[in-house]
Amino acid sequence: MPHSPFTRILAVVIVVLSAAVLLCPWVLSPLAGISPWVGFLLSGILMVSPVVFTWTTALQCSPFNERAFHLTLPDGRSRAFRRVLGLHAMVFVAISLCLIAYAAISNSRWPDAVHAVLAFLLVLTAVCGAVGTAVTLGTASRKRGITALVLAVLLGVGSCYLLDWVHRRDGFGWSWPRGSYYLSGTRCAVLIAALGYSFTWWWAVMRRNKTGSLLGVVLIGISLPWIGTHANFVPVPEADAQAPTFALAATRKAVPDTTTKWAKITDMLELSGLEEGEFSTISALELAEERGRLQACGFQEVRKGISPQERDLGEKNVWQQRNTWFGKSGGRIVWGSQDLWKHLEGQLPPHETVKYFADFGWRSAGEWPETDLICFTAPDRRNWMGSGTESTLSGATWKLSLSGAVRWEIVGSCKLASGASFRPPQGGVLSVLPLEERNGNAVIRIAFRAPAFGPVFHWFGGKPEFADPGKLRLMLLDEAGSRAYVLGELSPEDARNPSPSGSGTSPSTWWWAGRDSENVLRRGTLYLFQPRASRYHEASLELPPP
Amino acid sequence: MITIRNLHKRFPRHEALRGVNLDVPEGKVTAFLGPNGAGKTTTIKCAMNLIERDHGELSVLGTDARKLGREQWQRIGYVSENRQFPEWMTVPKLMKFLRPMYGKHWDLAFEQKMTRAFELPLKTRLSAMSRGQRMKAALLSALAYRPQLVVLDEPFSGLDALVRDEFLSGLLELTDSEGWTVWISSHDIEEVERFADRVAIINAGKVDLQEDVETLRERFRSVELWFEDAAPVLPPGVPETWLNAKSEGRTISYIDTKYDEHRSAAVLAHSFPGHRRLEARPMTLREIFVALARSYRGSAVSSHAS
Repeated sequence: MPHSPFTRILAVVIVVLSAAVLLCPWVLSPLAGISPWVGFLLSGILMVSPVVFTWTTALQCSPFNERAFHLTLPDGRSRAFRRVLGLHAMVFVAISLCLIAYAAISNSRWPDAVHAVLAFLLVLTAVCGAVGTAVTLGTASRKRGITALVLAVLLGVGSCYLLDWVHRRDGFGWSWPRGSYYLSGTRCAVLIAALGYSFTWWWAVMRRNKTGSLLGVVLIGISLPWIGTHANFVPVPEADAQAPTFALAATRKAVPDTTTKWAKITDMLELSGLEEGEFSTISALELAEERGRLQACGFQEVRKGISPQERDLGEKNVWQQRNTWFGKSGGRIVWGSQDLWKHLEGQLPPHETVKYFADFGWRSAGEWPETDLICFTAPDRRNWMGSGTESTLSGATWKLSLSGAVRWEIVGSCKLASGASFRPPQGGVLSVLPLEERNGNAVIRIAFRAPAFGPVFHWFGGKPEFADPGKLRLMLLDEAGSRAYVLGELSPEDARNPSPSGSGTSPSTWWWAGRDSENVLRRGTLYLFQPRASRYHEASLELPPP
Repeated sequence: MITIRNLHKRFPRHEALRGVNLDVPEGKVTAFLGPNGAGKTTTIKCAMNLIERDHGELSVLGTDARKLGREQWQRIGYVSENRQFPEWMTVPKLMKFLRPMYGKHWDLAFEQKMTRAFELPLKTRLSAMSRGQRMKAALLSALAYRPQLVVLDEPFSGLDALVRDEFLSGLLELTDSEGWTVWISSHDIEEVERFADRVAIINAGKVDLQEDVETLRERFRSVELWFEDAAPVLPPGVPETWLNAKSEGRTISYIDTKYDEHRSAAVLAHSFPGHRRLEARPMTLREIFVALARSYRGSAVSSHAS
């Protein structure tokens, strides 16, 4: 049967809708998003339309409709089925192209994009196969079609309950699978559903076997939960399943006996194993107390020569460190964010001086602060991080949690007056919007869109990056290129706010600048730095007392 | 061309076919007649493999109906009042869609000739055509490849007299010139009579009669016996070949299904010596069909009563 205009229009509508939902927000504006309601509506239409599409086309190739035009034509049945599958294939290819374009625009990694497209195609094939089978059986007898659907759903749900019950009882020696697999249970289930339901549709149409198809639908419905749980094949080699061990060595030194309640970290800890230009963070320092209890500890960054107890100098001189940066720069281990800034400054084009604005606010630019990284050795009533450390810092085992090693690189640079978009190697798109003015302030807006398809673990085509992408760091060179400015940090995670349709849009993050600074900003060149994973995986080091 | 043996088909609530035996011989026009619900369309659908049969053997063009393939379908033309056409198409688009399926069998000149003869509009969608035009388009799509076997399921249904005549004239002309084998089911017996060589009558899921129209006409007579006075009561055990026999007033009338002028006259002279006049009138196919249908009804009533 030739495709009716309605079927053709439906096919076009599905493709156009897919393109609109996936690509429009990207094409329209770096900040454009879809309102939740529109997103839900479009997502709903996108999910329902393939079902309606298959429903319509399956009616056109049913072998059980005695009045069907194609049944008395040469090769009528196979021809009609081929035409229906061909139209499905065209729609699938068109949607896949939209997805690939979406992946390309959003700067997704190709293995992740391939995984997403395959997953989408398999799920869609499974849905269309199931609908096609049900509709075909429904044309033989409405009762049979409804029975197929109800049985598949009810028996599937029943099978889930049975699976759960068996696992609870564990009477048959079942246990949840361990380890990682390339062909995991979920992937197997999707694959089986796609192949199985396609086969039952083919069986119903080409073999005209109603009972066989019905049985197939029921069997697949029952088996999917079990396959999804237990059918795991092609185990991931241990070496791939776990990232390489972080080759960082730490040597602990005796806590210096100081008159202050704090000591510099460089006096207590010596780290090695980083390569030149590599940085890492200590995400947590815990002290193992008696009975296995862990006491959280931490570091603080203070201006050189200023005791953290000297509060009269203001809070601005003390920086609480959640993630303490350390790295190797200039052949030596450097500590703290100030040293990291210095490292980044070294990557800027040659300039004469540097001004430091970060954490001071744009209204009061300051000179570069020299800082020390310290740790409290005795409790301080105004600082919870130090409470309880007196007795344990020297005697307890230290547990250091380290993130992976990264290298800070320039993602891109642009004139703030015009703005630009950048595609960092880790994925996603960073957009620097042209400088705006609001209420007498200059506003820098940076939007980050996450890559369309997130990292997929245990998939062919390379390992995802395990390291925390960290924050963006922003620096500015003035118009003459003689003076550099440290602007501050931006966390892509904070900025991310995916819309319900999954378009991955994000709001902007901004800074306010006073009028005096506006000209510098407007004429200057912004440099964006982002950490890129160098060596993978987080590590945990246990350091007993020296 | 078509051989059906002991064909059975049961639907959930009734048994449609109860052992149909039928032959559609090559080169002849076989009319398939029967009252509503007798099983005509079901038999044709089984033969065209549109529905599954339960039992029996069914061969079309020498192939089991279940295994009808490309080669067979390129030689079968099927027209049914119930067939769903792609109504959004125009006739030329429909022909363009169909042509590749028939390859060398498709006769483009013949298609164009028929299109002109049927006076089909070329720019009108099938959905906007009249019923008669749609049936002509259906006939065109089924004949343009010069099929060896033409199967027509109720082709005249719903057509007005003028259109029916046009349609039939076209079909008659083609059947004569092409020498096709035609199997046609219809209620319109008078129309069918114009060109049917052979007739098969189905009743309650069984073919009761299949015969050449000529021999059928020779065999069937409407007989009336006239008496001076009141006609005598019919004796018990009238011949089985007498259908719908009744005695009313001064006449006895019946349908003789095996009429032979000399033998029948002798039997009547012996059985009803007092009859004054005998009139044995040849019957039309329609009259034969009606007589048979009445006899079926009568036998059904009597069997129900017993």
